Amino acid sequence: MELLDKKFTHNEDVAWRVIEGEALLVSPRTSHIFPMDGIGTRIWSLMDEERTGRDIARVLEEEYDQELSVVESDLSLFIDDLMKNELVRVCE
Amino acid sequence: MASTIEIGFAGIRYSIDGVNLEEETGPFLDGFRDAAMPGDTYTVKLDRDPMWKDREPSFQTTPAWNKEALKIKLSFCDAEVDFVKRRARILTGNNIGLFGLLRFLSATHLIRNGGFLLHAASVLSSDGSYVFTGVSGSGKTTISALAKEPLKILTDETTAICKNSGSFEAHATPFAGDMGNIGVNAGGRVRALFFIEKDTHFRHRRMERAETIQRLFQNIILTVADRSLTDLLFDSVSSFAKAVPCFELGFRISEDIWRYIDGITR
Repeated sequence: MELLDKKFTHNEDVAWRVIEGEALLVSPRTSHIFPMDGIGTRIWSLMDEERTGRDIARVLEEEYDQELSVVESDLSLFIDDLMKNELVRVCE
Repeated sequence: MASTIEIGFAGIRYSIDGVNLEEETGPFLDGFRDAAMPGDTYTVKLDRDPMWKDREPSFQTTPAWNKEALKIKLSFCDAEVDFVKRRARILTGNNIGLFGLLRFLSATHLIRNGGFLLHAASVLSSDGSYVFTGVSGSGKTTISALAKEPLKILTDETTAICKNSGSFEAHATPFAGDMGNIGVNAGGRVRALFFIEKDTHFRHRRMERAETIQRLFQNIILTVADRSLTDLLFDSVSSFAKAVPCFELGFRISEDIWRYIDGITR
């Protein structure tokens, strides 16, 4: 199964707040801080255990008026980055 | 020799019972022994294990934590702390690492009470305090050295930010930098916070709240890898960034800096 066919949820260890429309994530384990821009914040909010990566890509395609293939490619890289930093995990 | 030492700063008091405490602390706590200073008092019992071997140092430790009490293994001690009853029992070796222990207790206590411990110099003036934070080498000690009477240095290294009746105060701590404990054990309402860096000229920029929060987190002493504490810290830092004007400040080494700061914050 490809990454975008999976569903995602926030790592419960990660503290986060949306400040002035942009999410700021803090990993207590590493003390690293991850600021997100507007689209990153939108993706973060869509990771709700219900949507697959492809569902999220379709929402972004509509909201940002981009080609689906481009959105999926960028989203895949973004999710990969979130997972490497242990900010999200795949739902079982 | 067994003894008890009592110290206080930033609204926290410690009554520490143990062996050879005076030998370890030397003169470094002398400015913090004001018995009249009010504060929440922690009773700390230090026991020594002659067979103790230090573990690998770690700035981040995952404790057993139930939001009121914790058991934690630091590199230099095993600690059981009840933050409600304000009692701590410590088992350690010959080098008790008292300052590391106090830093850990203070950082956690402050976060639980709406504040935080910050890598920052701070200076007290007649109208409040000014806080200067930044990475090592950014100029915390340099700025402190430029503060002349009637300004009073609180600390050149570690500032306690305390919430008091809805406003934020900067307080001295015994966790000193290059200048040693040259500050006064006092505090005052924070007038402004600056993220500093040395430069060839003076410049400043008022910072947005989100950027302030992000940069504050990089300078806060967060000793416990715990989600609930980090959530509390998020709220404290967010309130601070809303209540206190925060600036990026480039400065050249000159006593004119205080006139420049006065102009920014007036």
